[in-house]
Amino acid sequence: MMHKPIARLASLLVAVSLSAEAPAWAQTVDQEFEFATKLVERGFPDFANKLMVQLVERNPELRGRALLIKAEGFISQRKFADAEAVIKELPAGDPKADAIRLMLGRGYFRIGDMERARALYQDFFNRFKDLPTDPDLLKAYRDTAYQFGQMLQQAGDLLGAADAMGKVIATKPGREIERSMMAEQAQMLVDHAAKLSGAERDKVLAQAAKLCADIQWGGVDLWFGHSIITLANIELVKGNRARAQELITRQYKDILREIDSLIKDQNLSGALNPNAGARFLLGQMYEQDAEAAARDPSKKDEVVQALGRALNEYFNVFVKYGDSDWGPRAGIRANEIKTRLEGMGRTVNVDLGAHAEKAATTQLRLADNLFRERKFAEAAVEYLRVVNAYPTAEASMRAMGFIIQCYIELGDKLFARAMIEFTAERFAGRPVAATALLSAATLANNKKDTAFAGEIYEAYLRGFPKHERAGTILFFLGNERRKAGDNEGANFYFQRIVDNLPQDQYYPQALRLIARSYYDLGDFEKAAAAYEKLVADIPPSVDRASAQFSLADAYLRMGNWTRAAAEFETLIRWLSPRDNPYAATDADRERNRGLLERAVFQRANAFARMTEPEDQIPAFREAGMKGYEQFIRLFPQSEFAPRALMGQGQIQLSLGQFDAAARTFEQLSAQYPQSEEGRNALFSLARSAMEIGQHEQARLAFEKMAANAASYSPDEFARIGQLMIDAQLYDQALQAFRIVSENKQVQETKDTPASRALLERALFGVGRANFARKNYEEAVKALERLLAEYPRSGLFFDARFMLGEAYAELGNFLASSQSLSDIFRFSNDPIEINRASLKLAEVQLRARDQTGALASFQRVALLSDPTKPEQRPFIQEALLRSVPLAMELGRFKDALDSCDQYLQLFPTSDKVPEMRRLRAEAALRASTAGQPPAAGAP
Amino acid sequence: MKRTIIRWLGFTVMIGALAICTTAQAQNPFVILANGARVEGTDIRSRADGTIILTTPQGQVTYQRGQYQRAEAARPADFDRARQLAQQRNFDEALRLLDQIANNFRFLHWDNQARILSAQILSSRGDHAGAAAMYERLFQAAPDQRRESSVLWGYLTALAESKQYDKLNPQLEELIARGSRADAARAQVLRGDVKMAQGQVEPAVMDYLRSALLFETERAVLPEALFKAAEGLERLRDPRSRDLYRRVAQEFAGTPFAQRAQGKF
Repeated sequence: MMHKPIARLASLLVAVSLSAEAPAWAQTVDQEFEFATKLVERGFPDFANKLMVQLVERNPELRGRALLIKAEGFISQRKFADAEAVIKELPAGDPKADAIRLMLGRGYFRIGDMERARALYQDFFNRFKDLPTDPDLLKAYRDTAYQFGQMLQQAGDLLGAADAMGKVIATKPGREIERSMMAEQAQMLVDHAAKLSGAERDKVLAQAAKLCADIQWGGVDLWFGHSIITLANIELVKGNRARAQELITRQYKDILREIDSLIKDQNLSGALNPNAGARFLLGQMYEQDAEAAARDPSKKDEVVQALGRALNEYFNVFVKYGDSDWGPRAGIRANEIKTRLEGMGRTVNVDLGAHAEKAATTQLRLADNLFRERKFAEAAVEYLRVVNAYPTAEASMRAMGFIIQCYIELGDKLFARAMIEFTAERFAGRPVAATALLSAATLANNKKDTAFAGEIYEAYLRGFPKHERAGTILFFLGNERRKAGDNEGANFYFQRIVDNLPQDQYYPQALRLIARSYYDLGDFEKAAAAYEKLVADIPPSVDRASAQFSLADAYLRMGNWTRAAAEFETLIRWLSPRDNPYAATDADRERNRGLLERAVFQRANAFARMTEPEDQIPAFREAGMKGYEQFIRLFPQSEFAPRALMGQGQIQLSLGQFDAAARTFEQLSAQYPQSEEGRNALFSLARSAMEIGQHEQARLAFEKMAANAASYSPDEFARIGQLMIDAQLYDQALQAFRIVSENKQVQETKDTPASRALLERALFGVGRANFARKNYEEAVKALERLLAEYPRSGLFFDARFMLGEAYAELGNFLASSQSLSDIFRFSNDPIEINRASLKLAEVQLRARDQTGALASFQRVALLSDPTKPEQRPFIQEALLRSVPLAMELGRFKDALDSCDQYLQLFPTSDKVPEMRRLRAEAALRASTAGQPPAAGAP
Repeated sequence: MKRTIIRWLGFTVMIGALAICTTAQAQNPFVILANGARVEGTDIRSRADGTIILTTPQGQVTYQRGQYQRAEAARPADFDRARQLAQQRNFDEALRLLDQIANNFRFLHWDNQARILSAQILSSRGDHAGAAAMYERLFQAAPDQRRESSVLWGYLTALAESKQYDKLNPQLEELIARGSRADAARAQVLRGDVKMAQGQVEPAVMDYLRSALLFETERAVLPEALFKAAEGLERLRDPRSRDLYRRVAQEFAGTPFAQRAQGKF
């Protein structure tokens, strides 16, 4: 009984041929799958995947079939792990999983991983103790067996291949196919037997002879001809050379001639012509004659004649039947005999040069097989032999890649390097050679030898800077630097794409990453320039919309409100139409909706802040108000809605409309009571007033709150106290914190976490307010009290930092140092530790403790992690400060080390020339001061 | 400027082609009856209700609508005059003459020919909306003309050029779903053009590829589909554009697309 999932598998395996007969122009689901399959086959797996995503969005029930295409795409890109992951997404027993496994098997075979390929195929056949009875499944079984046989044959497993062909024959595929399979099987068995001896060999030869007899009983045709060659080969393997020759040249001569005419008359492929085998066999025999004659030095002429005859046969096979199984071997033999004859002083009038490309290609098949069998040492020798024979053939350039891979596999980097350099120099600019280097680099990467892969990539970029994959490689290298935290290094590679390869597929991504890195560094001007270029260079898409938003945002952060508003306006215009071209999928549309929402909000913000030209300000504010109103109308549930209402209130405040603003903030509290902005109208009003620099109005709002303190929570006073400090309204700030600390309820519950936190914030606020108004003694008092009463406070590190600064201002450097030292004694946060260390170094310098300061700088330079982008600015500053200090202290070795460290970590910094100068000076002074000499600069 | 010249050259070829077709027509007026029989005459007239009056040596014969398949007057001299005027770029005068023919030869074949030529003239001078409207008038008068491939594609192209996508898209979808393979392949390409014009580069490439991969046997459309897919991919900076350009140049040498593809890979 047939297993159901396997029956379904059969339908999957035959789907392609069935769908080809369907009316292709009817845009049905099947047609979309057919299209997707073709996209994968033609090298567009990404398009296929997008098509499937859209299809599944509309028809979720098609997910399983779409996964099949997805896996096919992964396999075509050699992403086998991803394809295996797809199998796991399918339900257990789903026949699509089997189809994917077989595709994976073919994929593994293509990359030479025969073991995995074999395991996957074997697993398939193990399921069938008996032949399937369902015709579709039987066809699938037969096709799979044939594919497997071909793979095994190419991998050199002839017995396995013959067995697989046996499986095909067992399915009774029809007379013609059956006879062709028998012929192939017989020849494979003979080739296998040639490697055996004794009874074992005779047994296999008998099997082959039986197959030949069966073929010959079936009548005279092409396969009859092949059986003759196989029988002759059997005799040769047995050592019956005369019998072999007789079979070909006498017994079956007429039949072979007849078959040759038939093939020519019917325009059939020469690859199948049995005369190729016959002539090759004759060539072998003549070669053997030459070997026998060569044993007698007096028979030199006989040797030459026999070699000439052999060459004639081989050359004819190679030229006439180059596509046959004998073609490549004949080419190799012909070339070797030609060389041998020329070495004997003979002129050979056979020109293989005209067929050099074909010869090299066919001869490489042998090397390729050795490579596939992972016999790397032998493969390298074979490849080199072909490269030397045909040094300028394209096939030889391809071979260079395999030679390098062989040496990588053998761990021989010296030879690999030699071949890499040769390829990059000798074949510079030739695409085949470029691809060869890349395949070698991929292997090095797969072996986790990234340093060596990097060397190969550099050689590639030197030799093939305009190659079609140069952009991909530059992008890969840039990304590697980015992962290592080296944004400058990353930008170095990305910039090369932007400057030299503006048509490359990675150009937009490179530009985007450059822009992003400037943005992250706060260099919004450069970020805006990069985003602007990006927007101009890419067609409408989610990415373009996103870049446009970032462009506008960069202007916003520069305070260029006019330009920001204009850029947001552009984005809004793009994304507002329903069928705009900026989205292809639901996910895209959702993302763009978010962008649009933020753009509408930010456009209003920009109008609310414009100050130039001055006479236009009322018009700007009006536009801002309308913008906020529009936003609230369009996106009432947005997280930005309370802020939009607050924005309206701020505009009213800026226009001196205090009462109107108060009403707006009341509305804010009523409509969005859960939002931070809406919790307290008066508080929000004060905060808004301060944000727009209306401190007087903020003070008025605060005084209203203070006058009616019981109506507001201590938390609100704690928050407004912080705001008052920012607004330099210190008296009000201190008053706010006093209200908090004197609050009856807080005092009564001062041991509860909530009250304790409020009291801590109040004390810290007092310290901060006094510090800000330079009343350091009062600041110290408040902060010391905070640390004494709440030693485990969450504000510990902030308080210690400020305390250190306050003591330093009072000239008490010892207390200052102790306070800062506590930070790196107790903190685990590298950023906090670095900040404290740099501050301590400052304090030490003020206390004239230069040695201590140098130690503090060095602590940052040496203990921080340069692969973390957020720590790199601290390292950079510490090194820049260390070098002159070390020089001043006469510690030239330390100065040298710091220079080296700087040059290594920041090779593209604008301080590099200065560092090189300081390094040279340090090296000179170290040598004159008798300190150890320095090595060469990196 | 270059575009105008190309349009003009295209138009001249088109008019020439039309001339070859039409001069081969019979010169005497005739009527083809419902049973397929052909009746020739010396003069022919029509009434507003579609009745045809054919003058034969035996006298006048009247055919009501439904009694005949087709009626055709002798080729009007003004038709050739209009064609010449159009070739001399005197479009307004040509259109005026054609309008007269359309009115004077109702139901007598030349009304339709005049509308087709008018639409072609309008397209060639860049008035695609006018051309589309003219084709619509033609289809209203003679719905069968919609089945003429050259006429239908003239109309669809005019719709695309005049950005009347709401009208165009359903017709393209219909052709893609139920048209002949040649029309379906061509419709995919035109749908790609529409998307490209709207800035939807990737979906446009998808349509071009759909035509190129699923309709590979439609050799008349294939180079255009491949070339346009390559152009779209180039806009997306996709290196696969080079492979497609290479294919167009190598497989379709001699086509204008092959010429344009040269040097792009």
